[in-house]
Amino acid sequence: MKKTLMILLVLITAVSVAMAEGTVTVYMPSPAGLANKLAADFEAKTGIEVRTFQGTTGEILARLETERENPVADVVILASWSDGLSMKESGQIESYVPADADKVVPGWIDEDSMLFGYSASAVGVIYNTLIYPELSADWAELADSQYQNDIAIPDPELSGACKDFVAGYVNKFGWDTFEALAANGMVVPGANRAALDAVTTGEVGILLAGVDYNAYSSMAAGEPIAIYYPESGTVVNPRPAMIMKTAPEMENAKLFIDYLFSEDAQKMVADAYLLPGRTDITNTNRSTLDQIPQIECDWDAMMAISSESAARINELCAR
Amino acid sequence: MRISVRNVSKRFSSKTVIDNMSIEIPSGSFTTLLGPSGCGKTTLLRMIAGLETPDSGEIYLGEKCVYSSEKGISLPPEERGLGFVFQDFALWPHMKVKDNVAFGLRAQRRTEKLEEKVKAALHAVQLDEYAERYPSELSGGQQQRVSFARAIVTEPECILFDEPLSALDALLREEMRSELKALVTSRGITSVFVTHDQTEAMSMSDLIAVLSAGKIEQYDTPETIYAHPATPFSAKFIGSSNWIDDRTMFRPESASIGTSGFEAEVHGSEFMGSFYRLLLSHEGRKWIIDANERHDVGETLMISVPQNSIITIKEA
Amino acid sequence: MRNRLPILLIIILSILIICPLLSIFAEAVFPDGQFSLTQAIDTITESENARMIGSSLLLGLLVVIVSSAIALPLAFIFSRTQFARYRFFDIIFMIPFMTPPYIASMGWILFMQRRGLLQQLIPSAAFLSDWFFSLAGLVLVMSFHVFPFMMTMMKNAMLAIPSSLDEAGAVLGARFPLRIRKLFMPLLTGNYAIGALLVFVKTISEYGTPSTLGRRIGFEVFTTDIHRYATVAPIEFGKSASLASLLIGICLVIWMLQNYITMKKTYNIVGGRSSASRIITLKPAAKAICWIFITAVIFFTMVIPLFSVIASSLIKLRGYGLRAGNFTLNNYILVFTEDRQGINALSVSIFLAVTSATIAAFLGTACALSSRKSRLVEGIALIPEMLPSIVLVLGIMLFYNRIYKAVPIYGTIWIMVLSYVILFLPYTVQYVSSSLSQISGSLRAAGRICGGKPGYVFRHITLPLISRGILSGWMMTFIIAFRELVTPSLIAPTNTLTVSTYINRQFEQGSVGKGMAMAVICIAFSTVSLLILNKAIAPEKHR
Repeated sequence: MKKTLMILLVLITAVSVAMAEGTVTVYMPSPAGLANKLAADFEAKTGIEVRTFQGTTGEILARLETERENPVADVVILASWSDGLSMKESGQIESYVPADADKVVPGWIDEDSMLFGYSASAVGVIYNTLIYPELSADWAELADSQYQNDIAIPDPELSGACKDFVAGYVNKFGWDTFEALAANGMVVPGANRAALDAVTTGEVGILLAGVDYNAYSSMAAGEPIAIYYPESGTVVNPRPAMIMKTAPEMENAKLFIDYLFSEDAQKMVADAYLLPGRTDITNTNRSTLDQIPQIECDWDAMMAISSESAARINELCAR
Repeated sequence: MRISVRNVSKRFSSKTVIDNMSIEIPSGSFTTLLGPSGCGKTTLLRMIAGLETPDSGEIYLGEKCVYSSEKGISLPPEERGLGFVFQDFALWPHMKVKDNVAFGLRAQRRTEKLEEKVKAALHAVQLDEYAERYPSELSGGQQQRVSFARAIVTEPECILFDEPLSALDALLREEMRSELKALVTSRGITSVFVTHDQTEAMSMSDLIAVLSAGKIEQYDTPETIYAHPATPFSAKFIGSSNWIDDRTMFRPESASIGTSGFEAEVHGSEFMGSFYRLLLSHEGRKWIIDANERHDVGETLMISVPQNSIITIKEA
Repeated sequence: MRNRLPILLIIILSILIICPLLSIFAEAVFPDGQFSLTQAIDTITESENARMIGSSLLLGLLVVIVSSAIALPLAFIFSRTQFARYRFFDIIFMIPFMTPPYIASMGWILFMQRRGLLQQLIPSAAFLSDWFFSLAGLVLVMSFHVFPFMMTMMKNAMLAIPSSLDEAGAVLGARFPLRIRKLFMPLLTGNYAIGALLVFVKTISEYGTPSTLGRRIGFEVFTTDIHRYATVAPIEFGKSASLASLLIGICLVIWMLQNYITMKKTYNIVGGRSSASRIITLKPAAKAICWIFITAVIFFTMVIPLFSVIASSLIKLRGYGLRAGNFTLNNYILVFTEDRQGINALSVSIFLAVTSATIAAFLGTACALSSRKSRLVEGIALIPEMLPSIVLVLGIMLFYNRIYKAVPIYGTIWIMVLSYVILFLPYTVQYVSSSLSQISGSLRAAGRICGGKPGYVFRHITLPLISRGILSGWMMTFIIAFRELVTPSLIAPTNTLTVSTYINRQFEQGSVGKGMAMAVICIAFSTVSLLILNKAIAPEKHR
């Protein structure tokens, strides 16, 4: 019995020792591959250990909420600009001017310099080329009966990019298109990758509002899919990195943000099929920012309606 | 009801348990199948009941053929109309005593006067008070009585007993012996009783079949088997025997200590209350003889046996 | 020391097990430090939750029915007919139990989905897909996982009935159907009721299948709701705790019911030496039907999910599916080489399994030993087996979050170790208790009379005799802990994936091939461990 107690004591001591200096804790969404590469490179360059937690936006926000009493996170990266804006609004974010801020795409750092769009994704229409050899229909045209029961959308409550697109589209064009799509048998197979898997395996032929970088990496692997951006436009969604006001390692957090905008990091971003945050780094492996037709975004208006719109999509498609 | 077993054989995987066996059990008799464990006595009983199927031969209950390998007849147990008393009593724990007893009548749809018959059967085994109890609330002896009542209530012409007393303690066993015998003989039921206890066999039976290794060594009255054992095995298995050579023997009570006869050395002496039991040795064979006084170990005695008490066994 | 041991254990177990449970109730009925049932009642009566409670109970009921339909015939076949001789089926039917439910249901999803493996093999089977992705499919997949429990229970119950009880009925003129109805079934109703309740509790406690297949079809149950309220923003611990409290209540009622039935409806077989059970020799036609049934069960519960998982782990490009030239071992290589996550997940799982099995072995042995002096110790130690693990883990999460300032283990790997020890303690306690019960008191007494001091007797007599029990408990904990899903998905610290969450993540994020490669590794690992365990226990039969 004494042994057990001893073990418990040893464990508790070990835990306190483990809370040493020289770390930065980053909460970030997928893709896991990029996150791990960035972390490893930062560690190699600075010697600061990166502790990551990877999860969906919902999981990351939940974790922050759980840890409100005992903050752990230094940097939080989200996949949705509007989620970033609402975190800023709730006063959790520290302001900072990163190095190389002048090279960043205009608008990808907010006016308070709290949200740092170090990369961006856009959503498009992804389709299975074994089922549809050619496709270029606009969003509303996919409600046509020839696509009945063969269309899907990522769960906007799990995918920040999809959520922002829905908010942007509804803000501009209203609900008619989504109602028609839902009536045409649109399904919600899950978060981004699960939805992409559904179109890859042919479970559905067409995925609306699928995140582009996932599609590009699958296409590069040889999967029978293709992507296009419908002509009425899509939402390019900068992925905000933010420094928590409660960051236990504030200095390291700032170093990490600087690092995200460094040339090496930005190249990794581009290699991961994301749109880089710096104007002087461009993609060679995918559509570039200027090739993507965009809907004008009123981010404040979008932030206000994004959560309820996302829930509405799930409701519409539940039947 | 006469029971005829003709040329029946039974093997379990590679082991022959019953070897071309035939026996005629007379109607109304109380026959005991006696033998050491593994001799096939229980298998024979279960084949008569239909709980085991022979490999070959024929079995008749009265005039009815219940098994014949040639004719392809094999009646299941429920169509043979027998009684069977199990070694472990086999009382159904979820039924009250009266329902255990009534089960056979209900299963055979003989429900008229059911209550009366059950009462009578329970009365016959002196369990009138216990009809509403569950088996687990009874003592071992009472449980065995319930199983008797269950066997007699359907008024079978024949009851088979599979070592029914072996689970009871010694005192209770002796008491139950006479009770059981009275129960079946008063009803004229043909009884086949399996046991490995020779005292039980001799005290209850009209006829004893001595079984060894799947064969019947001898089938006769207890008295005849005792006085004229047909084989060395029956001689050894029933009563004590003192062997002079491989073929000749005498029973201990026919011998006396005298001045002439066989020479034997005393190896031990046990005080039994009314007599002494002497353990002797004659030419390397162990004898037992009862005497009125103690004899010292190592003493040499002369044992005399009347000529007509020396039994010679014909076959080896 | 020995006399103080039970008291010490009661204190430790109370902190480990009772406090987390109390935290749940506290969270549910003291929302703002004030006693109030409003939150709990509001949560339960909220229309969505009320519907969820209804569907959980319905799911439990349907799974009981379907798993009975599978388990009862098998139990009969394997206890009373010549199939009882084929002992290797005992091991085969452990496979569905050894396959973690989340992996099996992923296998089923990949097999049944539109243009999935089934349709690639048999295109005309497309209509089955819609039918499968509904409550029907969920019930089937869950039944396929739990039926071995009921089968084993019923088989043992059937074996325990001496065949003389049936023979007595036959001799008295009762035909087979009547004997089944009047003699066999009444003797088994108690055992069946217990088995059915066990399956019910296991079903409503299960998280793996509802979190994969259930989520896919939008079928929410207790466990998924408790998980969602506790992990997805907006976090609502109060609601989570209220649902958990209700679930605890349901489980307690069921256990009480089970106790009652055990006392009232199970029978001690009376009588002397019971005869060995004899087996029915089936006629060829009946035998053929049995073979077909057994084969079908094996096919559906084992072959399909395993085929699906293995095939998916070998497919190169998901878009082309089962097609010559589209197979690769690359997914297995990627698990180990693409990034550190795969190797990390494996090493975290092995670390957790070894550490928690070892601590549980010490603690569990101490509990089993002192339960001779105090039944309370055993009573508390076995609570984790009676309750859904998600409830306990939620309690642990709430409790250690609350006392973070004093014991800062929340958010570290040690809270997982702690949670595993609590969850799996009952295995060791039960294995050791059962070895202890086989040691007659006279063995220890003889040791004392020969001059051994208590400690000496313990080391040289008791310990060697229970060592096999301790080892079995250790192995069982090791196997189950290695693939545990609920704990890591609720309280894994940052940057920590286990095998189960790794598989889940890959599956959810679309790297299905990699996820399934890890799943195959996990199943292979469990199976090998189990074979070693079986080998380790086997010599016990010689005693």
